[in-house]
Amino acid sequence: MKRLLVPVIVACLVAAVPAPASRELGKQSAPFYNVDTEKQVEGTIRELLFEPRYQDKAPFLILVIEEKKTGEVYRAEISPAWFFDYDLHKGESVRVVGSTYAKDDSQYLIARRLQCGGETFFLRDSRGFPSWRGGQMKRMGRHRGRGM
Amino acid sequence: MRGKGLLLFFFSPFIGILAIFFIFSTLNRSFIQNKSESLVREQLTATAEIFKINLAHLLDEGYAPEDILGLYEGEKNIYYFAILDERKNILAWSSRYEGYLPFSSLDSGRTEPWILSSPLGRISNRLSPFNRRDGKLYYLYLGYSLRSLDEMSARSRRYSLLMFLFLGAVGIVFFWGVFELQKKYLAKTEEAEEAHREKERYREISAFTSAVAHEIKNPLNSLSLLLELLHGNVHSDIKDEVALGKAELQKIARIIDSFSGSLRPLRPVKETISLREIVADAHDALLREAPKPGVEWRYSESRPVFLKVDRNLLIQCFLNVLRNAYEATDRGTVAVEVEARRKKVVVRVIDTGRGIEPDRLPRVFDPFFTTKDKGMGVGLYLARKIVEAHEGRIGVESPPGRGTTFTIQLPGGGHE
Repeated sequence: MKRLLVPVIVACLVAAVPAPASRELGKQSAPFYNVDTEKQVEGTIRELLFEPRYQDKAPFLILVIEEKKTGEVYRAEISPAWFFDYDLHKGESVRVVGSTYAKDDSQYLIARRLQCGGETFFLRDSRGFPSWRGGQMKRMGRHRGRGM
Repeated sequence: MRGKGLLLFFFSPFIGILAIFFIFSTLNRSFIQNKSESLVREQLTATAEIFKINLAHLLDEGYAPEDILGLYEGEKNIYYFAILDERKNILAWSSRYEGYLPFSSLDSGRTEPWILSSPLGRISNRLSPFNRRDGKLYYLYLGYSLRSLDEMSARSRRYSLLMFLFLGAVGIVFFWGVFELQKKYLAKTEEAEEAHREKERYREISAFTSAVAHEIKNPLNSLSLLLELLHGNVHSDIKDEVALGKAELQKIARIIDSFSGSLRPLRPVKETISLREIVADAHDALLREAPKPGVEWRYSESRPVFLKVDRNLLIQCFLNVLRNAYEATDRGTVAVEVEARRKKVVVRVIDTGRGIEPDRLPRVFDPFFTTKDKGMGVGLYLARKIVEAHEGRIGVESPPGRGTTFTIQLPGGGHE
């Protein structure tokens, strides 16, 4: 049992540590932030997940959101887990602005701005540049975030 | 006014030089920036051309666009790039930043490079077409970082500003120094001119007075001799009147001697002598002249002081100052305090008398200035002349209701 436990802990720690800024261009399989497909989704959090999204990068926080008006479900990509330190809960109402795309009959969203509990998080700039890579994340008018 | 003129004379060209430096520096930086941006554009074009040749070749070889992406890595200034089909749909893309590929439908019509701002600096973007061997059209989209260029420009701006501030500070310090020197020089010149004018005036007065004294004293002497003769021969009833006339003539002669003596230049014959002795001699002479029983006399010194001075002149000086103190004090104290410092002696003649009116204080050392009925206004003037002839200084203070203090500073004052 102990033999299994040690590699699992190490793997978890490695996943939790922010990935260093790569100096090389990585092959991207995920869709990019496309301003042409930007929309606002207002709904309720159904699930919170951590998923790897980009090659050689830390796992991302994913919110499964059910849109209030249409009942459509979006998987919203928020930011690397290490960057987002605000507590979100299932059932919480959120408003997300981001770039949408469809894949395998599911709707996806790359979030640029997230509003919940009276606070606003700027996750990317207007062209999709990630705040955790040098931008600033603002919440309620205050600067926040640990961008590299 | 002359100081202001000098300031403007030097300062205006300096401001001009600074302005020219600023303009030249700004133009130079702008030129270098334009040139660098042009070089970057050329480099981006060259890189894109190489990329396109390689991509066309690999596509000809049958590689799928997404498989080709992994082969291009290591160009540190390229933030992102993408391969687009003939309708400008993105087939494959690669970016250094998660999900960041700032290409939109608005950009698809562009033929010239364009620049985007990002939190990491400006990015030069370029969309250019290339063909596969079979003629199929593709597009290459490249994002090239201008961060190094921006950093270089910022550094250049910083250095220029620092240089500008440095030059400004140096210039201000330099010209402030020049201005201060000029001010001091002008003040000294003014003083010297004033002293020269004063000397010239007194030289003329002295010459005039000596001539007048000489002209008056000759007939006075004759008159005096005549009265002497008369005194021996006149009737006893008028002998007293003749004697009184002779005494009055002698008084006139003394007054004339005093005037001409005070205006004559002093040539001290110096010898080393105790200051206590000089002050005591002056004080004794004064008391013999006019005893003042109601006034207490005090003398104190921090240590015995010996000065190289003209004994007679200095006795005269202290006699005059002490006379002034005694005459101003009906009841109280006249004190002399001697303080020996490193290279000078400070003597304070302090009285508890009626003091001097503040408006009269600046004139007490002027010749022929007096507030007394019987005085001629020569005593303190002569005291100042004697002190100055010994390279010393004399000053006076008279706070209302607290008597008067004359302060005499004389060089020297070592032990013996």
